[in-house]
Amino acid sequence: MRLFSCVVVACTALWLSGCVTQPPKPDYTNFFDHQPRSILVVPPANKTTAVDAPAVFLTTVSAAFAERGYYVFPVFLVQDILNDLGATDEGAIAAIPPEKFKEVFGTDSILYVTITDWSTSYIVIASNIIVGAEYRLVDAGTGAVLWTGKQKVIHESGGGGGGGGLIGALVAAAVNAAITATTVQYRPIAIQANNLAASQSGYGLPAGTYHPEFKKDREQFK
Amino acid sequence: MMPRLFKFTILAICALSVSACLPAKQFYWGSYEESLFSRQQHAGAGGEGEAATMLLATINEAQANNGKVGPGIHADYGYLLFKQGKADEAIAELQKESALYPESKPLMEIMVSRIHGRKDKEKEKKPAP
Repeated sequence: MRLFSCVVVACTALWLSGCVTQPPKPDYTNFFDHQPRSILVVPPANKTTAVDAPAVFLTTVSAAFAERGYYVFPVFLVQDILNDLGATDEGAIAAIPPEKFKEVFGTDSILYVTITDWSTSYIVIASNIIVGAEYRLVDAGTGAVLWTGKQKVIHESGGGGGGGGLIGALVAAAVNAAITATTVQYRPIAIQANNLAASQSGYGLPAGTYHPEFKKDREQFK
Repeated sequence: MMPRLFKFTILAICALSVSACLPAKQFYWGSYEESLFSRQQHAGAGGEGEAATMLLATINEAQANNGKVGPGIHADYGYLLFKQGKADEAIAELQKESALYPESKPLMEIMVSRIHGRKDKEKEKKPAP
């Protein structure tokens, strides 16, 4: 039963994402020139008013990007080491030169995330949870930008009459009709945003060394 | 319980709508990200202890399922063991991370040597018998 709901939710998300108008595809020239094996995710910067957003977001990034075939450093260990080095806020982290990350952690690349949306909007009795983020992958050796991405997931979290037909109604029924979104409710939406950002064909990260499609999926990314 | 035909139809629609774009998993993750969230929600030794238990379970499950433990899991578990004062067990986990994922080797070596360093210091501190 759990698997069933998982599958339904996952493919509904994928199916809906197919309806969104697509922005121009990113340029992958730099990426393939400096194909990284490893990614170091630094604690996210925050453009929203939700103070706990970066800390929660950081718990949702690792699997999404590693599943593209990359070594992703343990995010909390990285955060603690950065704290030890005195980089305790987003300004201090942004000021660290990329080469320093290579020196301290031995990473090939750094993933900078900026949270752009982390909110609940109310439409009469229904509410939408919105999570959005911008991603920037930087080469730790040269500082070159390897990839950028942008993702926004809007999740209907209850109330009747929402669009989406049969599947939309099913999803609405499966999710608690809570009006106030809690941290726990934001997490799956953040995970969804990260999965889409990392693995969307033509927009996400090309397969890395741990992925069976490594070097075989170039056609999708140009 | 939903009627079987209904369930089947929904699954079929799903399968058609995403045809072949469901990604296969490269790694076994178990409750790694949940363990991070648990630490985020309960700072301090309590949350860390809980997270360590989740990570150990994840590592054991991966073995039982012949899955490859996801990147960072052995390292994170080792780090938590170190914080709990279990230096030798911590080193063993960090070395497993390094062996499984060579990308982590430089960082794991630094951590292992720091832990050794701290162990030596603690030995010096202890009064001679």
